[in-house]
Amino acid sequence: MNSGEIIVCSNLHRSFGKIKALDGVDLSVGRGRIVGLAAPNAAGKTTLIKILCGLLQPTAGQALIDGEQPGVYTKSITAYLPDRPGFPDWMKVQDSIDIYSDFFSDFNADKAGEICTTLNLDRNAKISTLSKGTKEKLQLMLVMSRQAQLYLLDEPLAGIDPAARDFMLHTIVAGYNEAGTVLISTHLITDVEKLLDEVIFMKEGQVLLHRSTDEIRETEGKSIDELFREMFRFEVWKGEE
Amino acid sequence: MDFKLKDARPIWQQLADQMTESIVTGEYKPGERFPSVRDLALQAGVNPNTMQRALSRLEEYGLLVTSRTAGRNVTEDEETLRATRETLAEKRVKEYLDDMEKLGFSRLSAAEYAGKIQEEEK
Amino acid sequence: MFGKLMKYELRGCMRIFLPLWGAVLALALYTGLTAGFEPKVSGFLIDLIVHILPGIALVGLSFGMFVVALVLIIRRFYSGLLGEGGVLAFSLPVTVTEHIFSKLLTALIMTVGCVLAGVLASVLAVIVRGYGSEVQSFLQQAGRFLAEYPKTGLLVFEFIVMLLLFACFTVLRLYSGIAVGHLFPSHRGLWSVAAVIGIGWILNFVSIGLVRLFSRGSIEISVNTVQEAMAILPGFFGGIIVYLLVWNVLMWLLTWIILKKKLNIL
Repeated sequence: MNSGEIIVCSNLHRSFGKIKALDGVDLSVGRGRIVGLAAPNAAGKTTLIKILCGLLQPTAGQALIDGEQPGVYTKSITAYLPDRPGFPDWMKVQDSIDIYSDFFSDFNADKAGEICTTLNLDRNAKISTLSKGTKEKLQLMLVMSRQAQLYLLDEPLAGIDPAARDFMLHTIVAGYNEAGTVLISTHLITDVEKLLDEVIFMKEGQVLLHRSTDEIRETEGKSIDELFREMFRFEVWKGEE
Repeated sequence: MDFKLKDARPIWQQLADQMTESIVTGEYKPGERFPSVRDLALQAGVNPNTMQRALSRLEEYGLLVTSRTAGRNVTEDEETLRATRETLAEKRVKEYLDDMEKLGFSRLSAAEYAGKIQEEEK
Repeated sequence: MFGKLMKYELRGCMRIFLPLWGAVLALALYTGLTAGFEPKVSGFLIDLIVHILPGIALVGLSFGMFVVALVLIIRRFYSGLLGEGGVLAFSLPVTVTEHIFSKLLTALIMTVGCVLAGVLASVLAVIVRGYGSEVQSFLQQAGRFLAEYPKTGLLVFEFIVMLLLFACFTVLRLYSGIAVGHLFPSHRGLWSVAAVIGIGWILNFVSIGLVRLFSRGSIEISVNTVQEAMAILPGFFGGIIVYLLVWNVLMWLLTWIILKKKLNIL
């Protein structure tokens, strides 16, 4: 079971009407890695992650997780943090914990209490009454309380203040299963740069680059953020025209 | 430990350098238990794989020794510590000489300059 | 996993329906008990509070609970499964079949529950008004009829199955319409409504076509006596059941295939 690549995408396409969100993505990611998926907005990051989660179907090509197409098995080993918190209105904090412990056998129930104490949450509070920041923290803590083979974190650091960002990064590093792989999508690479073993740059639905961060720093003599800014500078100009 | 990861070199090298320094300067005493990979990774805000790589480098240099109880301790070997300290010192001095050269001092006068400043400070 | 899904489905719905059903039964009991009650102080206002308002509330709730059921059936599928709730729902290690079936079963439980609550409320209202003996004699007559025409039991059974299948079809028609609507990048609500209406058209078209096809064979059916009706009806009902079953299967497949192969959670 624990051999081979955790993610393999071959010639993955997905269009929404005329828009090509993914335009031939070939990608393979190994186990036990923390991988950054960096790209400007609307380059296909969320689409790729949603296909890996089984929330979207590709128009062509295929995505495999642990050798299988997204389905019941892959969902049982994948911990997904959506780009926006997705709890139904009626749910209480306890309900969200119950759902995780009911449906995911790799959920560490001991951590439920820890989540509530850390975030100072009342288990009977409705999630819809929590602040946006607290909701995001709750969801990340739930996701990171699983011993998953694959963590798919879609923009966990978008639009949060520096203190919250440190909390999120700490939660990720402290929680993740070291045998598993973490894929973090971001459009601000500085935020996660220190965490990454590998980085994937995407542009217009394609993979532009996929390399080890140490290798980039050694051969290019640049931080990943510098390289990212260089490669996507044209994007900014194009936007200003 | 307070990690500062600023430059463009690989993160693990920066970590290894800073941990080496904290051992040589005695922040961690000889024989003292070194924190675990995950704790250090959390302190530095880096990935445990990266921290592991940095620690392996320190082990390679003999600054850390893996004990039978699966932890890491700072070496008690005075010779290793002294050698590391000297390597660091040599590197620093060379950096000083290079910098002074850029300012227009010859390497020899740079060394004399250092002696002069030291005299004045007395 | 199916049991766990059902747990959350039922919890979500019963939170609303248990109090609603309770209120209907309580109101039926109250209006029944106070029907003959004449307060010492009479007047329109008193009458309004004691008799009229509870009566209106009972009628309103009896219809209202079906409306609530319909809204809930639509909402739990439209937003709970294919809308904002879909992100969580489809991240769970659960099959598409389990998802649809848990929604459908919950929808049927709600519908049947509403019918039962309505029937029970009526029976309760009649009994507490002191018409217990009439109910008894009605049941006796029904028993005699059943003894005389043994097929009545079968007919009643077929009729209930028909109703259930029709309810099931109505729900699945909504589901498949919503599933079709969710394939569109925007205006999903409108497309869903259009799809539900479209399915209705197809259903009518096919049904009318089938009726014409059969009537062209000019089968003369004349029913003059109860005996003759008893001979024909079970087969007739059976035919309708099979027809409804086919439509149920079609709607199920349409929904299932879209959710399995074309899922599009934005």
